[in-house]
Amino acid sequence: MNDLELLDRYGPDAADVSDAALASARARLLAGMDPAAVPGRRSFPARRLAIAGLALAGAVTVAVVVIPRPAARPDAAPTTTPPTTTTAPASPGTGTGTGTGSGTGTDAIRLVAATAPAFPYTISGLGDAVFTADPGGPVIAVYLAEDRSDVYLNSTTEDDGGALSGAGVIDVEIDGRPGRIVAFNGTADDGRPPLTLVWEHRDGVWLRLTGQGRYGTPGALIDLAGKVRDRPQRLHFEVTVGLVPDGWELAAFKDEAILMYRDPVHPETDFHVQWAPRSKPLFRAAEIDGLEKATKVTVQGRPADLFRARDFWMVQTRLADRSIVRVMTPRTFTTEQVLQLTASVRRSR
Amino acid sequence: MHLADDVLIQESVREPEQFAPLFDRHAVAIHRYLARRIGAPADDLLAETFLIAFRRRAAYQPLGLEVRPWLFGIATNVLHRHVRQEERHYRALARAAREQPAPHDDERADERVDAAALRADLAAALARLKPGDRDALLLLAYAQLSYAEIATTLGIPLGTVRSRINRARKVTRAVLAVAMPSEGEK
Repeated sequence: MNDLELLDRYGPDAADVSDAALASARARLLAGMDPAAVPGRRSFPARRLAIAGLALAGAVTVAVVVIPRPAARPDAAPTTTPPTTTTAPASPGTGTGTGTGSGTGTDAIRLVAATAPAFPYTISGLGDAVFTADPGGPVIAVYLAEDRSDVYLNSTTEDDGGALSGAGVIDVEIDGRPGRIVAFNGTADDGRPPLTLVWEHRDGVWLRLTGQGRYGTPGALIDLAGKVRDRPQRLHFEVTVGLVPDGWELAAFKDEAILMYRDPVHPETDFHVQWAPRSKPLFRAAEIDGLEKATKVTVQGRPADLFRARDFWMVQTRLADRSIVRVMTPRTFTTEQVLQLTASVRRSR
Repeated sequence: MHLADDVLIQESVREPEQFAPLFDRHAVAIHRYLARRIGAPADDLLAETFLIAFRRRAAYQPLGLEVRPWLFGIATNVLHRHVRQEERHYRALARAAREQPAPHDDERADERVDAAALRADLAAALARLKPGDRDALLLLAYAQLSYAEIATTLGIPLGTVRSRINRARKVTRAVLAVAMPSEGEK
C-alpha cells in the first residue's frame, strides 16, 4: 500500500451523506434549475446558491467558530460592561407579540416576542414532511419516500407559473383555478424524471409542487394538489427562540439545529442560534475568531460565556439537559440584548 | 434510456431538466470528497457545487474533461472560499483523534490506537499544506483524478501539478514514515 492509498484509508474520513441531506441538495438544485430558466430567457436565481447557508453550516464545525458574515457595522467601542447576571425574560411568547422594550441604547433593535415558525400547508396522506430553507428562498416541505418518489411543496408567485411556457408545458385546472405542469422530456437514471406543477391554490396564492417517481405524472401531481390543505405544520427545531428583534424574520435553517433570523430591511444583517447535543464540548475562548474579550456571565441561572469578537458577539451556555446553545449576533446588538435573546432560547423537547 | 454524462450536459443547455440525472450519478462521490475536506458544511457545498455546475453547463467542453473530474474541480473551487475553515476542520479532527480514549478489553486495541494516531498526524499534516498543494494531493488521493485531469481542473500546467503533488507527498510521507515505517517508505 503506497502513501496515497494510506492517505485515502487513514486520512480524514466522513460519514455517508444522509438521505435528507441528499434530498435537500437535490431540491435546491431542482429549484435552481427552473425548467423555464433556459439561458437567455430567464436569469438563474443566484439567490438560491445558499451562500449564507454555507456560513450556517460552518457554525457547526466542532471546535471551530466560523461566524457568518456578521452583517453589520461593528460598534466602535461598546460601552456596556457585560453583566455578571442576566435574568431570563418572563415566558417568551410564541406568537407575534408585544415588544419587551429592550432597545437599550440601540435605536434599530428592539426585542419582541417571536412568532412560532410554521409552514402553512399540509399534503394529506403523505405523512410528515421535513423542511429546508435557504436564505431569501421559500421554505420547502420535503416529503421523502422509500422508493425516492419524493415530493416538494413550496409557496411561489404567479410569475413563476407564467414563466413556465413553451414546449412541454401543459395548462391545467385545479378546482377551476389555473395551473401549469412542466412536462419533462429528459431522462432519469432511476425512475421517472421530476415534474413540476405551479397553480393558484387560492386567490392570489400560488404553490409549486414537484413530484418524482410515482408522483412524477400529471395525474399524480393534480391529485396531490387536491390534497393540499391550509393546515399549518409547525416547523420543529431543537430549540425555540422566544425573542427576536422587531420585524426580523426566520430566514433559513438547517438540520433543525441552526436557525438564522434576518432583518428584511437590511438582509445582510442577521443573527444565528445554534444548538448542539450535550456530548459536544463548549467552544474555548482560544477557538473564537478575532476574540477581543471573554466574560463569564449567567443565563437562565446557569454559567455562560460571552465572547466579544472583532466582528460579532457570541454567547454559549448549556441548557438544563446539558445540551448547548450558542447565539451569534452582529456587534450592533448590545450585550444586554444578546444575553436576553440567549435567555429566551428554550429546548423544544 | 441511459445517456452519457457529456450528452446530458449538452442537452441540458436546451432542456435544463436533463441536468438532474447528473446529480443522481455523482452527488454521493462529490459529497464524500467535500465532507472529507471540510466536514458538516459539505451538505450545503454539495448543492452549491451542482448549482454552479448547472450555471456553467454551457461552457462545459466535452472533449477537454470528463464530467466527473469537472465536478470535482468545481467542488474544489467552492472549497477555496473556505480554506481557513478546512484547515480548522483538520486541526479539530487531529485534536479529536488524539483525545480519543484508548480502547480496552480488545485484543486489537494497539492497532486502533495506532490508527487514531495516524489519523491525527495526517489531519495535522493536511492542515499545514499550502492550499494549492493540498488541492492537487487530494484530487489525486480522494478523487483519483489523473495528473492531466488535475491540471485541467485547476487550470495549471502539468509540471506544476507534479511539483505540487511531490511537495505535498513529502509531507504526508514523512508522517507515514514515522507512524508506519514499513508502509510510508514504500
